[in-house]
Amino acid sequence: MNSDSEVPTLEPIASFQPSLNTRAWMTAPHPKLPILATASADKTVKIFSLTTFRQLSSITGGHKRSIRSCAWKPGTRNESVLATGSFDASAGIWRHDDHPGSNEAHNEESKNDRSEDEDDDWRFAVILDGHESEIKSVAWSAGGQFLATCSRDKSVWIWEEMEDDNFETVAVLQEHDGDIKYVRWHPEEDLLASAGYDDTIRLYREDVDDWICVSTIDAHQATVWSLDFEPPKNPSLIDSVGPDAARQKDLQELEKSGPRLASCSDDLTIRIWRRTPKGGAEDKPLRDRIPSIIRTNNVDEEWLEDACLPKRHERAIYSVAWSPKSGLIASTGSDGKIVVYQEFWRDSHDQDEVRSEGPPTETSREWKVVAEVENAHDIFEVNHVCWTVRADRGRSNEGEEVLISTGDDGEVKMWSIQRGT
Amino acid sequence: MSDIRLYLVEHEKSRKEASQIAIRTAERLQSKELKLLDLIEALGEFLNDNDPSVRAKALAYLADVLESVPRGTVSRQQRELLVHFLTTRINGDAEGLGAAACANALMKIEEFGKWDAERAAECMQTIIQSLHPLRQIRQQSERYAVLKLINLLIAEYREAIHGLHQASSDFMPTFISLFEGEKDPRNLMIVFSILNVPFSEWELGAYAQDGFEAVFNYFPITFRPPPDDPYGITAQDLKDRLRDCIAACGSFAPYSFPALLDKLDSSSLNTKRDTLAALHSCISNYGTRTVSLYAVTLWDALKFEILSVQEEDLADKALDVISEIGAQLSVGRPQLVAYLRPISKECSEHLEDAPTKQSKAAGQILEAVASRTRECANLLVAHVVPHLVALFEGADSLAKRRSLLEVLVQLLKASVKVFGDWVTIAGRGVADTQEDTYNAFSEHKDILVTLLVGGQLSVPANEVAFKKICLEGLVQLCMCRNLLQDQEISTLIRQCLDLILDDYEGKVELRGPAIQALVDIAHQKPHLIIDHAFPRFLSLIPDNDTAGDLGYVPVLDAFSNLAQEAKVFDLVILRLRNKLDAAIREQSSSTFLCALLSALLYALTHTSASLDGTDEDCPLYGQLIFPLLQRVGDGSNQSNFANNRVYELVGQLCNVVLRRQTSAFQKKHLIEIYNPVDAFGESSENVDASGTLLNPLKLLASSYIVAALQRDVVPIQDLRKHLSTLSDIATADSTSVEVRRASLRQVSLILNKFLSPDNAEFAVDLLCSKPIGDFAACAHKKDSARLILASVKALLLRNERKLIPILPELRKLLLDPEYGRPVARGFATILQSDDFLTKENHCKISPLYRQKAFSLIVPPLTTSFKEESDAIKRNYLVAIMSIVKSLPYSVIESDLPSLLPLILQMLDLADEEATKVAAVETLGLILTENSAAMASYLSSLIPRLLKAASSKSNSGAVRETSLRCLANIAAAFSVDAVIPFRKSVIKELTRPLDDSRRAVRAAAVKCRTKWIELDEPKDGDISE
Amino acid sequence: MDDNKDNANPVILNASDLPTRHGESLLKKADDPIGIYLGGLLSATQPIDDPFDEALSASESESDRDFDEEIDAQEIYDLIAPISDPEHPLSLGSLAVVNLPDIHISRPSSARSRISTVVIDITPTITHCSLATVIGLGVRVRLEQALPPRFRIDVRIKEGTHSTGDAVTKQLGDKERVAAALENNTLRGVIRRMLSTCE
Repeated sequence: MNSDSEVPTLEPIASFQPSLNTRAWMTAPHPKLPILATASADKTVKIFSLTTFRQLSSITGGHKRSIRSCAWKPGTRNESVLATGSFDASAGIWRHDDHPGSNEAHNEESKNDRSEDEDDDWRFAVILDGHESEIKSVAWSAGGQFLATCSRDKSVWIWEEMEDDNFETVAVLQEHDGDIKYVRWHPEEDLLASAGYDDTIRLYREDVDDWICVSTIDAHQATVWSLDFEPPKNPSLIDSVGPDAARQKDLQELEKSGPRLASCSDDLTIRIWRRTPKGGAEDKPLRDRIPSIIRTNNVDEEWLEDACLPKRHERAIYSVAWSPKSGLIASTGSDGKIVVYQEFWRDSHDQDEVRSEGPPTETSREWKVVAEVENAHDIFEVNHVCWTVRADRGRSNEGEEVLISTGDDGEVKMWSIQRGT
Repeated sequence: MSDIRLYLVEHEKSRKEASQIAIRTAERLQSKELKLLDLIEALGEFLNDNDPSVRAKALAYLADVLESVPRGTVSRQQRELLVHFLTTRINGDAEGLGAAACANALMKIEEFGKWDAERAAECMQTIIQSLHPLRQIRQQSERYAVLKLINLLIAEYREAIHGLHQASSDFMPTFISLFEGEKDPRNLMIVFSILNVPFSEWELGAYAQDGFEAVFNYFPITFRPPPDDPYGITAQDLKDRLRDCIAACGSFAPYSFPALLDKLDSSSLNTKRDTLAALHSCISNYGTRTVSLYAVTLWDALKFEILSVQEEDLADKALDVISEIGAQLSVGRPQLVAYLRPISKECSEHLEDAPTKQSKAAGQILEAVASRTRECANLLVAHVVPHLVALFEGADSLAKRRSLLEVLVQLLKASVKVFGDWVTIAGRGVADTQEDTYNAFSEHKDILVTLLVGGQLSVPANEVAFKKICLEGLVQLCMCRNLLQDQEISTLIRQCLDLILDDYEGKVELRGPAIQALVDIAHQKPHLIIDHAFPRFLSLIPDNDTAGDLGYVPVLDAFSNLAQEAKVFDLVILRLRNKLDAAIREQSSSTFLCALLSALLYALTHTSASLDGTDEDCPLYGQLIFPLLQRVGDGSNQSNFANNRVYELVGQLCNVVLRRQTSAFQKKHLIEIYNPVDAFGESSENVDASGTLLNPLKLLASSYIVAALQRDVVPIQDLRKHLSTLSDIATADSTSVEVRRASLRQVSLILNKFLSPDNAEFAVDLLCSKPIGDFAACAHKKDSARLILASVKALLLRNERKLIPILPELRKLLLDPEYGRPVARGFATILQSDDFLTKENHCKISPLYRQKAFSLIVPPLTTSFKEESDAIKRNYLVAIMSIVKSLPYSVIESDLPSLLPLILQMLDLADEEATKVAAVETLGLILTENSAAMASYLSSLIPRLLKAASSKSNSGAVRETSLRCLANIAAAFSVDAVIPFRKSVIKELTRPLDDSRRAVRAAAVKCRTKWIELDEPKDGDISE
Repeated sequence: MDDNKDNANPVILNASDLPTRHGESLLKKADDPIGIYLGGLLSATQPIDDPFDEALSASESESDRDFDEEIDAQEIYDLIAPISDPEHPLSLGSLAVVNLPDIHISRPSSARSRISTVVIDITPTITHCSLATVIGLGVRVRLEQALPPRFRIDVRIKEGTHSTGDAVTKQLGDKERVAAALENNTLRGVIRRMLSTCE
């Protein structure tokens, strides 16, 4: 545990009302609209408004047991599509027609306050049955083409939406030998990552016409609870790289490897993984390679540990989120803390800086804790944290980024980060 | 004859109408207006009508007529004629309507005059031939009539029917199958009692199996009586009757035992319970020879119920069956040996890996069987004890040794049960043959004594539980009749004395059992205790306490405990009295005197001996009480004796003895008893010239004497003077607390027991109306209020009419700004039980005093509650609750509407802890008695209780009682009445879970689990 | 008969060996040595409950009010010892499945944190007991219902006492799997029966 040097605390902005009064598992911000969807143990999903912090509607009746996860389908036109994953082993697709003009990007100035004219017509469009036991996580691929679900039955299913309301199972991946906790898609490529109870992370790509596991990371010593990919053009390093040649080279290497992957685990560590780029032609991004029937053996990838964030959590870390705008990483877990980390270029002569352990420091970058808060949800465990853009009147500037935390006390809270310069 | 036709028509519409017609005919028969013969003839054509229902109804008409005809009207030959005629007519037509009518008629006629044997036999014969099987009569009420007739024949003409059985071999099978398929519980009850006769009294021969199967297919009975069951037959009644049939005769054994053992594997617990009960009856009825054939097979099946116990009650029932077999076989030695060998062998094996679940079960089996007969005990002891001793000596752990000793103690207890102890012989009669009194333990007593005594000494000091079981073993050995020698018992007595008197680690836990051991032995061998224990105790009780240490207190405690045993009681009292005399003679401190007096009081109040004397004489009085009174009387204020604690104890001693004596005895000795303690007596040393009391302490003793006297033994001549002096002392500032309390007690005792009608007015005025009247101006309000309330209580208890106008006035006392609150609390004394105004002290306790107190004191408060100021309102609330908290629910029930809102307000009272606790407890009481009354208050009660349970300003007691009340709510109401509150209550209860007091936390846990369990099956996450 | 029980004949402790809190009541006796004898007749503090002055006697004296009784291992033991074994009408205490020395409470790690942790190591009666998970779940549910939410509850299988001890411990430590399991009605029925003996 690095020294308790004075670190600014996260400031609570508001908690969304009314409280769910029962365990809330996770919250998913809508890709465009200023709304959130919170999955809860009382078998419902609550839709909150980011502008008024009030509950807009409650999606009920679709599942017989707790809803563990939900995800908004990206890139939808004047309708919102929400996927839900539940302990009743089924996933649900819910549709809601958005009003014309209400689906501009949520940072538009327009005052379409949804709370008054919100009609509650969430339609339970499709049930995706197939898993044999509780579903733990659902995720849409970047373009919205694929939906991934994972479950305690040790399988990841990839569904593809044909015409409306007709989903087809594209792949059933049974690589893990235990309950699978989380699935996450690469922000650009059709690369899927899954984290499991068997302490491993596995990555999958579509090769020719079936999905295969291209890489397995088994460095964690306990259940891996959550993952998140680095945003494609991570500003936190690009803006501050400066003239130094070594740093320029390191930056190019990073771009060649593509977005990195952050994972958090019950072994109290958060680690960053980086893909080793392969030399020669195969380097081109897979998308535009000519499909060939023969499966070439060069499709496997190697992901190595790039860094291990400073240890601040004393109990299981349930959630990690890599900010698409600022490149900061936030984590939370059973000890009720929320911690925010930032990546800095390492000054060779800086000794008193807070060092992050991890592999020998041939990389010229290091992670430091930039903000933290304890007892975020009173004495209860915090199950989830994610980044979103503020949409309420109190926001200081256009794209002010905030954190949303979801806890066992049934509260959903918004936090702001005063980043030290 | 229009009657018959009218009857036939009416019969369709309503049976009641039809029977009215029959009654009219009967009257005409009786008045000889109509002769029986003519009636029969008139019936003739109908009886032979070709429509069966007409025939049946005609018979029904005849039966109804006979039903209402008095005895004399039908002559003997007419009866003969009718019986013969009706017997031939019994048949199944018209769904048995005819048969039922015949049966009723025949039973009526039989009532008029007994039949002879062959008439009965003929009747049974026809029934069997024409109505076989009975279920052809579809109407169950009709079958019921026929069954009653059969039951009558079996009950009254048993020999005749038995004759039929002996005469033809196929009578029995047809008779048994007659009742096949009967389903109606009321009919079944009769079928079972009918069949029980042939089963238990006649030789069934080849038909035993048919008989058994006819009844066993009803086993197990799963009948659930309909809610409005008119006949009130319970499943248990049916089960008992069926069981009697199954157990009726030994020849059933080859079929019943296998069938029952098969049912023992059933998954339904109730079936298993019925099976075990049936087995028990069979074994006690089938007789030794039959039981011995199946004994071992039964043991092999039943042992699992105990060894791998699922339900405790099933294990107990199985134990009963196994021990019943032992009892049955105790007559013949070889069969018993054959039966007990596998039991003792298996139990011994299980003891090897003690302490396990099965070794514990083995102990239970051994104790159960050994406790039934001497033969069982001896055989089991002979086989198991040596094995047990060997295992003990070879045991590797103390836990194992202790569990083996526990089994030994179980066997010893069994042997005491069958052989008896030194005082009473158990089991067989007094004249035991030498062979009878042989106790197998005698072979092993020496090794057992050394082992148990050794166990006491050799084991490390902290192994207290082990030493306890050794002590218990030794005590049981002493109890066994004719087992230990006196000299061996004396060693145990000495060992117990060491445990009581020495200092050692673990003494706290062993001292009590050691004392109890001495008391138990005192019951068996009093002389040994007197010879060995008394001297040691008495040597440690000094004659005076100049030495100053209190070492004698534990000795006195142990010694006075011996008085529990009547046989040594007198000697304990005598020795203690001698020590007291010596102590006084040697000017010992009052502390020492109090210790001795307390020992005497403890002995008197804990003995099993009777303290009662006769009209003439009471040894205790002469030996102990009279000398004590003399010392108080002689007034020599010899400092150490004239001390309030001493006088109080002397008073208590006198009370405990005197209150049990007859009034004749009390009258005879009244002067000697009362004068010495009379503080106002004329004699000089009591009152000085200025009238101040020289010996107020005497009041402490005299109050107890006054309490002890019967109501017709009045100690005081001038009651009025006595009462006014007492009331002055009670309210004088200079009076000490003890004397004030004593005088208040004496006032209430005199008012309750000795107040004559002519003094009532004076007393009520002196002690109630006057002080209430000038309460506002009174100087010492609190003492005056105490006097008023003490007097009110005494008069209320005797239902004094003059008090009625006073009670509502009590409200005035609450208006005082300064003293209103303490007096409000003082109201509790009115209904609180105290040790003086009791039945044992011969007080008048009217049954309605609570009702009267409530109805006269509380309403004035509730009605004028609204207009009072807040401070007065709070006084009223405290006063009301001080009364209500001692009342049974029935008294306050009618006033709930006005009371409940006030009780709820009490929860918000600041710093009135006792009142709040009482308020919550009363709410709890109402909840248990009549939760409906609280239903409409739930939404205001639950939040208040939650607040009371978590706010730090409340005392721990209030927080705890509120949580208990909340738990009651969860239990008292239907689930859907409380479900709306469930989620918030469970969430709120997390705070008292973290209370700083452990007791409050425990209450919070119990309460929260009750509310969590309320969840409907599909509710969400259980671990909110 | 039903030899399908995992352990038909477990060793059972004697009730008097089970740890209790009676030590404290002995403490109380120390300050009034002779009060315990002769039925309290001699005890110094004669109870004179005078309802008139109740205000004082009824509410605890000041020292009582702030007399904090910390939640300690014995209290946790008393909460879980009476839980009954799913197979036998015997308590986990008497079967030595839960033992006082195997209960550890760790106070909040830093000044700001208010989270305490309770670690309970349970000892299955035999090494291949298939019911270890259910017993562990019963202990966890009982404590989650009975302890204030500031306690984190870690139920573990004691080292070396069970063939698949680590796997069971991992499962019991996974809050999500526990939550999911507790939504299954049959399992809740079993646990409710196990807890019913915790009057």
